Amino acid sequence: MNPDEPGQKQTTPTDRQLFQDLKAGQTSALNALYERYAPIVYGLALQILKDSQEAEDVTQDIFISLCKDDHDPTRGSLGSYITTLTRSRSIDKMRARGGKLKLLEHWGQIMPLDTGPSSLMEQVSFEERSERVREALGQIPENQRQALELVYFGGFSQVEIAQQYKVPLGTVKSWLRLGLVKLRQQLQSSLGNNGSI
Amino acid sequence: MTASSEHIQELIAGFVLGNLEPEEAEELEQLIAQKPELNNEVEHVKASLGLMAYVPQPVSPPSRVQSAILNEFQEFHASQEPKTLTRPISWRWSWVLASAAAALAFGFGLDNYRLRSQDESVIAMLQQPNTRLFALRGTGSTVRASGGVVMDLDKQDAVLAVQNLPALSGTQTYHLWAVVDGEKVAFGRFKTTEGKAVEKIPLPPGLYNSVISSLVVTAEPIAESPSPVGPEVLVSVL
Repeated sequence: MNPDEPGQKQTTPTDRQLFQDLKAGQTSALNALYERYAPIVYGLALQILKDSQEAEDVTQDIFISLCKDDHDPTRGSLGSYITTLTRSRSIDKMRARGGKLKLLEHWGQIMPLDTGPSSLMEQVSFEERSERVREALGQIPENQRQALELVYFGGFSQVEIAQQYKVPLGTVKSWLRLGLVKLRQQLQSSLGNNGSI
Repeated sequence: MTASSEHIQELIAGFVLGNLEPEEAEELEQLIAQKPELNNEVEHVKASLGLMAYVPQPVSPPSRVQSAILNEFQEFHASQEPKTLTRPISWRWSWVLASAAAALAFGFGLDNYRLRSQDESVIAMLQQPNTRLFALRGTGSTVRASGGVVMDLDKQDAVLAVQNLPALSGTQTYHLWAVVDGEKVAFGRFKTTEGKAVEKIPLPPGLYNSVISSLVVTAEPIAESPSPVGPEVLVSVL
């Protein structure tokens, strides 16, 4: 269930409603958005940074930004805004601390980390979403999937991947393109015609 | 000659990943001009890449994170009566004066070029109380490139001046982006002549109330790039 889609349970406020209430200073809206998105934000930051303190900092930073800054939710989904910001800030932080993890530290570590049960119904939908995307990635040939993961979660450039794995740059480019095409196709069959959520 | 659907998909994926060669970018731009509905596919491929954010297992952060956010939220609202959610702009005069000096030094560096004709607008901007200046420095292969942007936040105008940028090929264009909350927001685009450019660029309405932390210039494969996919060639320095 996407909280932004109409026709869902009336008792669940949409992201947009919560965001408007947040801007009006309602603490309850902040709490609801936090419970909805904090595990996604923290999980993603942890995946990229591999450091719980830094992931906490990013999580705090993202929600403070949401409270204070002028995001226009009509420009796109709040979930997409939050996850894009989380990835971007996590990678910035990783670079600021003096570079990236070694490729091998990232390789094979994209699988789920330990986590406790989530309290909200919304979380179920996110977990389902996670599962669909993981399944879609699982259908992609290994080298293409790993290249996508290294770029997305590791912030690695194509040149870095090519150098480390001693393959031509064109090969890495091709892995990435074909991997993304296949991801799009898999998500299209899994999530409907437009493949978006 | 018609491109196969697989080929178009790969071009779109390459565009979203930022790894198109100039001739491929040109080809894609032509294809999109012929079939504007391909723009929808670009958005869907972007969304598919964005969904990778949901791959890591969600993890609940420690409760202290929520407490810290709530505290800051309440303090923020207490200090915002009557309610305003736009960060106050606090440009310090000393900073503006230092920026003015830097801008003038930069101006001398570009003497003999079009900046001379823009001097008056730059100086007029620097005389305003709500002016901001960003110095730009090249990165990587464009390390010799440099420049600056002066913004008049009251008149919502900016002047950009750059030098030593490499010539672009095909449909490539230089794009200026404002970094707001870690996100690059489109600011404007420009072309260079012999590696140089001096352009007056109106501040996009979306940036009127934004706190811009830095500026970035990228070489984009397609003139209409909605988000940066090309390499960064200039970044602002404090």
